[in-house]
Amino acid sequence: MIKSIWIDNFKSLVDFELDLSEFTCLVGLNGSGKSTVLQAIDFLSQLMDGDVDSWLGQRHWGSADINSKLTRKNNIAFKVVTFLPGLGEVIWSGSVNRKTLRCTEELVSFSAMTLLRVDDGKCSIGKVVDFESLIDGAKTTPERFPIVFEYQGSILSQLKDSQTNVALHKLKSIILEIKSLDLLSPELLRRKTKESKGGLGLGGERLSAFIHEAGSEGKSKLKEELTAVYPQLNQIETRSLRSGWKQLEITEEFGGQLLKSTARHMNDGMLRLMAILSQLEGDNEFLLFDEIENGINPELIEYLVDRLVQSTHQVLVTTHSPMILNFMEDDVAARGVVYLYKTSKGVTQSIKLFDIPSLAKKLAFMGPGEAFVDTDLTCLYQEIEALDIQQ
Amino acid sequence: MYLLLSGEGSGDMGACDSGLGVCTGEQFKPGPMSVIVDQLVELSQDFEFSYLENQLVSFVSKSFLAESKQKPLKKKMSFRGKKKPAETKYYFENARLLAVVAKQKSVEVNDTVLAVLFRDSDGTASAGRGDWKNKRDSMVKGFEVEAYEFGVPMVPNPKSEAWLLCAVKGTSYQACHKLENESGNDRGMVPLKDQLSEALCGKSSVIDIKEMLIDKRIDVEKIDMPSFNQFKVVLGEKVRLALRLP
Repeated sequence: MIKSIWIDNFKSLVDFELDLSEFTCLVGLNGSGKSTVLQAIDFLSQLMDGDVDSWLGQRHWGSADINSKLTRKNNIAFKVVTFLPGLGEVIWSGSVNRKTLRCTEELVSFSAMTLLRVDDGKCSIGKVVDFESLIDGAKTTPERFPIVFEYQGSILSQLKDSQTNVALHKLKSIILEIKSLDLLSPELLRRKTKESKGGLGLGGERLSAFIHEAGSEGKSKLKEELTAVYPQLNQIETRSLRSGWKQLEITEEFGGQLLKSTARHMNDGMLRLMAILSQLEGDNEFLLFDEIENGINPELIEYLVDRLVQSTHQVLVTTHSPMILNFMEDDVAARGVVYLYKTSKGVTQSIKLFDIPSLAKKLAFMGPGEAFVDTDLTCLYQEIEALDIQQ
Repeated sequence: MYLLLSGEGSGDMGACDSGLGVCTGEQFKPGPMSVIVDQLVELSQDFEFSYLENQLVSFVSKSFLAESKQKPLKKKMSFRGKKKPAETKYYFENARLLAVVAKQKSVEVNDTVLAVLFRDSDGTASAGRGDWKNKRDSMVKGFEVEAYEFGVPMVPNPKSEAWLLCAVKGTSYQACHKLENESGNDRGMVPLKDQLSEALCGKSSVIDIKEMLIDKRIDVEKIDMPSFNQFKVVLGEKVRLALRLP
């Protein structure tokens, strides 16, 4: 899992650190930087994929859009603390040149050992056979070589597994398994697509192909999940149309009568829930959803929150809904609800919501959502600032 | 009649011995606010009888009330809105929980229980957030929701030191309403706590203040400021209601 991220010079994120739990929920006023955090984490994942240009293109951004206007720094610096099962804490840090979109500096370390270093146009990789030898503290013998090729993102995006080592390979897959659905939209979810390319796409536009590729077992499992909240749902089907377009259809049963609808005519809430549940059942280790409550009616919120909290994957959501928070147990909320706010300089900062004394005091007497909605967020910054001064 | 008190800590309403959450009799160490309650009750009932001296008082701590917090009423969760202003729910929930304890106590002692709930309206952490009147009114609603008619909100504006300062500042008992504009933040520029200590030449311990209240160097009858007056009026009404006095 990803334990924390630190990023400097990405939009409103300047020297920004975020601790992550198995389930993390970002809250805050409009413009506090919630979506930016999702974009930043997705950006870090894209560095591992390599094709940063395409990522910018998908979002209709230019490279000048990603740095912060609040600092004069050129490069975007980052640090990702991961926990690799069977090994422990592995830290990936680096610095991205905004023009070349390449990590001109990179460092991956485990304990005091360097597993990868990139600087001065050269790269060194520690030779590690297995996790056991790393844990035993076996000396890694780095091979330093000049980098003679052009690339974007991390050098790990360009190297074959056989050229790296077992820890770097695992780190790479964990970072690549971050999937952000921060632009999920009903219009895109309704589209017919030819292939999923392993995901839903940024806005959910590949949902029909993704469900099609899940096969009959996947569709039946998704249907089982959805009937818990849509008892009238009878079947989820996909059809392969001419030229390979995949169409999503559902059958509902009302009073013994079966009614079939294509994705074009399905309700927004069911489509969004289908997208979220299909991801929770998928292989991606870390899922990011923006404004998770959108389109979901209040009756389904408890089901949705339970599914997100109990997921075997790491989950990060943003929300404005006190109902989402109120359906969390107090301990889940205390660990996972993070409040984002902007300082007087305009930079985004984070603090666990229930680490703020007045909020902790309220949580003792009411639900997490009630404590959140009762609080005058526009003045909360004063209390946080006083805490910082104290510390 | 029997009194049930709840406060923030030993400096205001008091506390139980050995960190207990609920206590009665000798186990309860009353603070200055308890003495004020006792004196005002005595004045309202028109006969001399101290509930503190006769040990007809129970105390519940803030943490005891927190432990009896109910699971949120999921679908019925209460939202902030036109009828529920920001920063009030804490007061509402405290009143609800105290009302529940008071009703149980009433059965236990087989008598009418008058519950007085003391909470600062402007603490250090949340200084400047929310409105005193809204906070105080939400306590009344909290008692009402539990259909408990003998609940009294005791909410100084901004905190208990302001009431005490009214009596001991240079111009005693005059223009005390101005104290309600002070900040409740103990880390502010000139905290009320420091002002009180200065006015009393450093002799502002709980024991010192209690003595001053008992020997009338601080005269509760003379304290005149909106948040205190409102508390005093409601306390008087509820005492007469409980004792069935005209």
